[in-house]
Formats: sequence, C-alpha cells, structure tokens
Amino acid sequence: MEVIINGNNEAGDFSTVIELLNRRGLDPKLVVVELNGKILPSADFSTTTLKEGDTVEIVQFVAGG
Amino acid sequence: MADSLVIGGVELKSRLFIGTGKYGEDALIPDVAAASGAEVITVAMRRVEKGQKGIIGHIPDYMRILPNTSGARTAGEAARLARLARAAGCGNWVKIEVISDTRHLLPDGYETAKATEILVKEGFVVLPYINPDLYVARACADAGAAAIMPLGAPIGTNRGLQTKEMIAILIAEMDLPIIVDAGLGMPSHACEAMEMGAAACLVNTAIASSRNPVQMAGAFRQAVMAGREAFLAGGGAVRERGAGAVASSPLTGFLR
Repeated sequence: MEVIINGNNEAGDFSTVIELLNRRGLDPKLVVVELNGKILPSADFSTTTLKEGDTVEIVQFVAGG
Repeated sequence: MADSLVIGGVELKSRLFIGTGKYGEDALIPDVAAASGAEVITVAMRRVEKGQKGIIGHIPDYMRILPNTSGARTAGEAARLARLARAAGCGNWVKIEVISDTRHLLPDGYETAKATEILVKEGFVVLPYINPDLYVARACADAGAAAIMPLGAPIGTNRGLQTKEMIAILIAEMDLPIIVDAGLGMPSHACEAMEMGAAACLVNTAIASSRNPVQMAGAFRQAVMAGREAFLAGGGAVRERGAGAVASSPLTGFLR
C-alpha cells in the first residue's frame, strides 16, 4: 500500500494511524494529524485505518517567534 | 489597582512575550522564560521531520502558548495552520503571520485581515502581526482581533523601533492592546515602546541571539517594566530645542 506522508510517497504495511505514529517513534500526544485535508482527532488515531492513496500530514510545534 | 493586560479574557501580569526560535540550545528556554517573567511564549507549527524534536517539552507548564502561522502565504494557509495548532490542545490563541515576500519578510496586511476574520468566527483569540498600518489595524479590529502586533523593524534584524511614528499612531487611534513585535534588538528599544504606551512587547531574536540569553531576558523584563511604569507615571513636559534650559535648583539665595 502506498500513502503520501508529509508530501512523500511511502510504501508500507500501515494499518491504523496510531501504528504509523508508533513506527516512526512519534508521541501521539505531541503531534497533530491531518488525513486527506481534515484534522483527525487524536481519539480516532487507533480506530482510523489508512487506505491506498491517503494523504497524511503529521505536524508538531517547533521553535518559532 | 493592578496594572494587568487582558487579552482574550485572560489577565496577564507580564507585558513581555517571548519566542522559542533561534536558541542555540532549546534546553535554555525554561531559564530564559523564568528570567523574562513572560507568561506568553510563541511557537511555530511544521511537518514532523526525522530527527527533529518538538519544542513543547522545553516550555514550562505555566506558560500560555501562542502558536504562530509562520509559513503561511495566504489567509487560507494561515487558517489551516491555526486549526492544526488548536488541535494540538494548547489553547485557542493564534498569532497570524502571513508572509509571501521571502527577502524582507513583511506581513501581508490584506491576507492577515482576511485570516483574522475567518479565525475569529471559529472562536480563536487572534493576534495579527502587521506592518504598523492604521487601515490594516482597523480591518483586523473590525474582524474581532484581540490585540494588534505591529512590527518595530523587519523581523530578526534587531534594528529597534524604526516604525516609531506609525506605532504611535496605532497606540493613539486603536482601542485594542498594541503589542510591538519584531525588530526590537535591545532592552532600550522595548522600553521606548512601552514608554509610548504600547501594551506589551514580543521579543525573540534579541534574546535568543545574545551572548547570554538568560541575562538578556532579565534585562528585557526590567526594561519593559520600566517603560510601563514611566508611561503610567506620565513624562514631564519636553522643551523645544533652543528654548533654553530650566534650572532644577532655586535661582535665589546664592552665596555670593
């Protein structure tokens, strides 16, 4: 399956969003996920499955002024 | 009566806001924050990159997060970033920053006012970062902004209060708090803005790029407090140049 994560095509065996975050070593409490242009509530991370061609944005707060 | 600043219904004791950008070592931030006395701190929102750590872990729990929309080139992009920031669960404040000129990094007033309108309707406490332009400030105020953040000089330049005359006009004409943001390079610049009646100052680069950021944060804290006190005290009359001096001591009773 291929999905677009932060602008990059990535192939992999992704099932749920939480699994994707875990595999990347990301703390689900510290990131925000947008799935196909819509913000995904963190409560739905473990129940939302990814489909072929999904566009995922994973963002976080970084240093800034 | 306590001299507090109210933004979006929240009472702030400190009139110095700080940023988290450009620190050589982000672990300095808690000490900088403590030395500054600031209660509000800015962050940006970006895609997660491999090996890049988020900033939240370095921000003391007592602080209020003010996410900016840096990276946005249009009102729509700013609104998207603001929504993502709110979804992070750190409150509903947002500093609107819409910039498409990559050399001078000047904010786009039209897009900023549009973003303000969109986000106020969605329940955000909106603090637009603008050129000190009265019409843009009014458009943002009409759209429901909680404060206006005019730049003192182009961002990151440490050049001081280059836009002084225009900021004075905003302070005189606007009912909203005027928070001078960007360009303030030394504590004297922040003090000058506060003496003029600015409600607060936001300082990032001047502190982060100094040799000793913790010490500089303390210096800015004192400067902002001094400027505020002086504004409240009200300065004495300034005599015209060439009008002659006025003695401070009696001109009678000399020992001749």
